[in-house]
Amino acid sequence: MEQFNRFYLWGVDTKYRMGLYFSAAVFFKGLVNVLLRSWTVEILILLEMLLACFVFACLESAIFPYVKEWPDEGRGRRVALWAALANLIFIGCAWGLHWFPGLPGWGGLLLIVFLEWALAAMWYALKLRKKLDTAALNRGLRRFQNEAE
Amino acid sequence: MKITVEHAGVTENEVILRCPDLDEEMLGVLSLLRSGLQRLCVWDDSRQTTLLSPGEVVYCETVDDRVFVYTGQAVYQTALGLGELESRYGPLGFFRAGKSAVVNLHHIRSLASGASGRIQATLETGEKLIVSRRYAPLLRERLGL
Repeated sequence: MEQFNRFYLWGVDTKYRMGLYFSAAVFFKGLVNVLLRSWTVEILILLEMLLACFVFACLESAIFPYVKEWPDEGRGRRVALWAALANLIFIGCAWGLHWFPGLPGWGGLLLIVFLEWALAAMWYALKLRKKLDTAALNRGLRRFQNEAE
Repeated sequence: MKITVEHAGVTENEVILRCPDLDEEMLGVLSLLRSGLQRLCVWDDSRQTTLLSPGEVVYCETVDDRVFVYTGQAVYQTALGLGELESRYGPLGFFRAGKSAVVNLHHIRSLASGASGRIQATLETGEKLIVSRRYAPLLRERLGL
């Protein structure tokens, strides 16, 4: 039962991540299509995007496990691996599976810049949250220590 | 003062003081009882026992089924388990940080948000101690967060 619960929690977390990446992918696909004056998105491309996002979310859960603790040491290597996999999967799929047909070369480069910016922004958000959480923890600690004195 | 010791099949030792008023004699008994309860009996390598004030304890940890008590200057052993230390001295700032450690919150210099919900505590001695993911929410609650 414990194994099932762990698997279930992993599934819930992974689906959240998958949903996050999928919504970003659909947003950019929709934006590009509108700019190219196309008002439809192929179902097959959506399914491919969903699958790619699921694979990336699974790999992310292996790099940064949700259900077990991982050491702070080697955090930089994990981040580098995560960013490399994101590039490999999303750029690889977009290029190999023709997610953006008719997009000029400079448009592709712009999408890659957006991807890098989004990855950096995501990591910055996590860092910011950690910084704010640390500040709140220390405020709470000082308050606790001062109250007891 | 009449002293009576009753042997009864109770689960926990109990001391009842009966008096019309809390006079100086009874206050003395009370303070003796309280100080006796709050002092932590420990021993060092040379088996010399000491009564430590809980405020002197920085943290406690279990190693090979033995409970070690660390103050800023020395290391002792105690017969109490981590659970007992936490329940007895919890109101004085003792907090369970993990399966094998209890830390005195008054001796933490700083806290840092860690990976996967853990919290890293830097103690006044400079040592670092990890509050596990299981106990981190309890620490937040204790700190009023």
